Amino acid sequence: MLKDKLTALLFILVTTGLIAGMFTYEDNRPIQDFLDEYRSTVAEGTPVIDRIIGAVDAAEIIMIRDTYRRSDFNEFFGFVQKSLGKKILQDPEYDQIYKTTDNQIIFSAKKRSVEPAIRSIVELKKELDKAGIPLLYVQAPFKVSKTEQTLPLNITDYADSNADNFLEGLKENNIEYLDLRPFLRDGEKTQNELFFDTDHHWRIETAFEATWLIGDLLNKEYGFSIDEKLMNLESYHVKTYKNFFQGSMGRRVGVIYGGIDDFTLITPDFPTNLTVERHDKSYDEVSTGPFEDSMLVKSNLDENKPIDTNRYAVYRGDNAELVFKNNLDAANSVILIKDSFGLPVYSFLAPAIKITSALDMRYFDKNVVEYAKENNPDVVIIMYNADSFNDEMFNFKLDQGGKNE
Amino acid sequence: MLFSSLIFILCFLPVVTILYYTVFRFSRKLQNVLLLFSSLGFYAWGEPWFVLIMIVSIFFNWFFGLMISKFKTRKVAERAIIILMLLFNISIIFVFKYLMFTIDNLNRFFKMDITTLHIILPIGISFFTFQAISYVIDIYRGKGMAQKNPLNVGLYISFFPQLIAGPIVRYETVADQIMNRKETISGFSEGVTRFLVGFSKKILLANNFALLADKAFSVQSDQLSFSFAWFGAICYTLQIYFDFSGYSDMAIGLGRMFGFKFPENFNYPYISKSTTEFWRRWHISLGSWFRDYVYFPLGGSRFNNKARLVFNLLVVWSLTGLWHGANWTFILWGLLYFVSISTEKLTGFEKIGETKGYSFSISFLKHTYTLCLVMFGWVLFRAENISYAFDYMKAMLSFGSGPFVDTNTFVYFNENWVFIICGILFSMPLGKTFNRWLYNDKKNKTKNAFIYIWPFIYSLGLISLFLICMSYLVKGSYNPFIYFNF
Repeated sequence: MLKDKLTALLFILVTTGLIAGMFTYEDNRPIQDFLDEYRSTVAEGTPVIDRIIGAVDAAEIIMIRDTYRRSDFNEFFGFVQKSLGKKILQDPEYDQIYKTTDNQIIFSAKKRSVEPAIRSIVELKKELDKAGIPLLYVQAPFKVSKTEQTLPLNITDYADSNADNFLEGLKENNIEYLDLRPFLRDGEKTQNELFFDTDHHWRIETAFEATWLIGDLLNKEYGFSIDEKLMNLESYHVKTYKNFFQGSMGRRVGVIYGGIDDFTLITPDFPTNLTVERHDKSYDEVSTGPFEDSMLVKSNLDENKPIDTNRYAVYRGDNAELVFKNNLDAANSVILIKDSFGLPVYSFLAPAIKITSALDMRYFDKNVVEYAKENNPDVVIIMYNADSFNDEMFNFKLDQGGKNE
Repeated sequence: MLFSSLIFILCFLPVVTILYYTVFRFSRKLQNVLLLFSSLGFYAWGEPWFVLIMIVSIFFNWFFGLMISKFKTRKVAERAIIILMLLFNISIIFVFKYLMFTIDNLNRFFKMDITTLHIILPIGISFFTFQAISYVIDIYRGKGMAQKNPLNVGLYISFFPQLIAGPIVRYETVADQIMNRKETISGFSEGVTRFLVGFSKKILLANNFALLADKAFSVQSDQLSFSFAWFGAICYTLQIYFDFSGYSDMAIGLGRMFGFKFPENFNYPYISKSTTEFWRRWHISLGSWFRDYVYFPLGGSRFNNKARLVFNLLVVWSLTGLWHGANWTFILWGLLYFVSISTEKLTGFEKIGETKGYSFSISFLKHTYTLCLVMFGWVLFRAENISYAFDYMKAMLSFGSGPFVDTNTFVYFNENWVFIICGILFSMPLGKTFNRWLYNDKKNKTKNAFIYIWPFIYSLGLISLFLICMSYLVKGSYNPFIYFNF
C-alpha cells in the first residue's frame, strides 16, 4: 500500500540522515569516542567477556552522546512535554524533575536522617574548641520552600524539614548557626528573584544578600571589622545579561520547556587586589590581580558560548582548595566549608577580609581540624544548602591523624 | 539488545538490512548465515555467556530433528527421541528458570537445608526453548522437514525479531520460509510500518504506563488508596498490553522486512466478553502452543468425562502460569484462569447473550466481568508476592487501610490523561473500523478525496511519532524490559 511505502521511504531517509549526521556533525567522532570510552572504562588485562560487556556499554553511551542534533531532540522532547501539559518529567539522574507553580524547574529533596551529620559536626566543634577556633554553621535555603506547595500536589520536598531537624540538633548541642532562610524569604523577593528558574542555585543577587547577612553576624558576634560600605550593593557594579543562562535543570528539559534565565554579574566597584591560590591534588596555581582578573572565570561569560555554559561558575567555580589573600588593607580570616552555593559567597567575602579559604568536602581529603590549626582562622564557617545532608558533605576527615602536608 | 534502543535503530538494524539486501542478496544460504550470526550477536549483547546456552540448544535440537527424520518408520525409537528431546529442553529451562525456585520452596515447606544457588535467567529462554521443542515435534508430526544444515535450525530458533519476546513461531509456520521466502518492496514497507507502530506503542504508551504502574505498585499496601490502586491496575493493564503487543508488532514487522511472515500474537484482547475469548486474543502464539503441544495431546475437550476436561485445563493453565515466571504469583495467576475458563466451559458462558433477543446490557456485563477478572489477574501478575497482591486487591475492593482517594491519583491522571485516553482507544480496533469506513463506501466524493491524502497523513504521522520516540530514547527516558521472568 502507498502509505506503507511512503512510511518506509521516510523511515529510511530519517535513519540515514541520523546515521550520516552522527559521523559528520560538528566535532562528532563516534568511533574515536567509542574507543576513548572503552579504554577509559576497561582496564588492560580484563577478561574477554568483561571486555565485550565493556564494549557494549561504551557503544550504548556513545550512541546517546553522539546522536545527531542531540540538543534538538532534547528541545523536541521538551516541546512534546510542554504540549502535553506535563509538570512531572522523568529524568535518568533524579528520577523525576518538576515544573513548579512558579515555572521553575527543580527536583525534590529526599527525606534524610540528619543524625550522622549532627554527630559529625559535634565532633568537629569539639576538636575546634580545643584549638580555640569558633565554628559557625550557616543554613542556606534549597530552591523549594516548605511554606508553599509549588511542586505537584503529591510530591513532598524534605529539604526544609531536614534542615529544621538539623538546626534543632545544633541547638541541642550548643553549636552556633545562622539560618538564612527566614531572612531571604521575608517576602521582599519573589521565588523567581531568589532562585534561577533553570538552575538549582540561588541567583547572584540572593547570594550577595546572604553574604552580608553572614558578614553582619561576623562583625557583631565574631569580632570582625568588615567595612559596612562593602556590604552595600551601591559599592558594586551590577550588570544583567538578558536571556543568558540555561542552568543544569533547564539543560535537562530544553529551552522550549524550561525557558532561559537572565544572569546578573556583581563585581566590586572599589579597588581590589587578590592573590588566589588553587591547591589541587596534582598541582598548585597562583594568580594575583584585581577581582575581575583573579576571581572571575570570564570565559563563562563569553556571549559566543552556548546558552548552557555554566555562567554561575563565573565566580571561581572550582572544586579544589582555594585560598584568597587580600593584598589591600583588611583584617580577619575565614575558612569556608561549602557546597556550590558558596561560590559567590566566598567571592564577595574575599575582597572584604584578609584571608578566605574555601573547601569542598567532596574533594578535600585532609583533616579539617589540622587544616584549621595550621591556618588559624577567626572562624570556621560551614555553609550548606538544605539538600546537602549526606555523609560526603559532613565527612571532615577527622580520622586522618597528624598534620597535613 | 532491545528493539527500543538507539543502538538497535541506528546501528544494528541498518547494518544487517544493508548487508542482507546488498552483499548477501545473491545467496539465500548466505543471507541465512548473516541473519543467524546477527541474531547470536543480538542475543549476546549485554550477556555474552548466555549465547552458549542457545548454541548448545540449537545443536542438540538439530541432532534430535535429524534422528527423528532418520527413524521415521520406527515408532519406538521416535518416541524415545522425543522423550530425550523433552528431557533435554525441559532440563535447560528447569535449571535456569525453576531450580532456584524449587530449592527455595523445598527449604521453606520441607524444612530442608539445600544450599540456595544464584542462577541468572537467560533472557527469552522460555521463548527459544518452546521454539526448539516445536521444531522437533513438528518434524515428528510430519509438519516440516528436518534441516540438514544446523545453521538453518539456528536461524529458526534464534532469529532476532522473535527471540526475546516472541511471538513463539512454530516450525511448521516458517519451515518453508527458511529457504523459500520472498522479499518484496511491499512486504518490506509493511514491515517498516508495523515495526514503527510497535515501536511507538512501546516507547510512548507502554513506557509511560510503566512509570505510573510502578508508582502504584511501589506504594506500601497500608497506604494505598482505593483510587490509586485502580489507577495503577488500569495503567498496568494498558502497559502490559502495549508493551507486549508493541514487541510483537516490532517482531512481526522486522520479520516482514526480511521476507518472513510470522503469525499474529494479539487481537485486541481487551474487547473480549469472556476469559476464554481473552486467551484467544492474548499472546495467541503461546495459547496455541499449549493447545497443540499439551492440551490436545492430553485429549483436550474431547472427553465426555468433565473431570478429565477439568484436569487437562488444570495442567495447561498451571504450566501457562509457570511459563511466565518462577514465582507463586504467576502460578496463582495461571490457576485464576484455570478456574474462570473451566467455569466458562462447564456453564457454556460464552453462548450466553449470543442468541437473538438478548440485550446490550448482558454483553456489557460480560465485558465488564472479563475486564475486571483480567485486571485482578494482572495485579497478581505484577505484584512482588502473593501477600502484596492480596493487599493490593483489598485496596481495589475498598477493604484496605488506605484512604479512598489521594493526590497521587489526581496528579498522575492530570499529567497523563492524554496517554490514558489514547491507551484505552488504541486497545480497541478503531484502526480497523476506520479503514472499513474509509475504503468501503467508494461513492462518497469527500471520502474519495480523503483516500488520496490519507497515505501522506498516515506516513507523516507515523514518522513524527518515530521522532518523538527517538527524543525519548535520546533523553534516556524510562524504558523497562518486562520479560526477564519469561
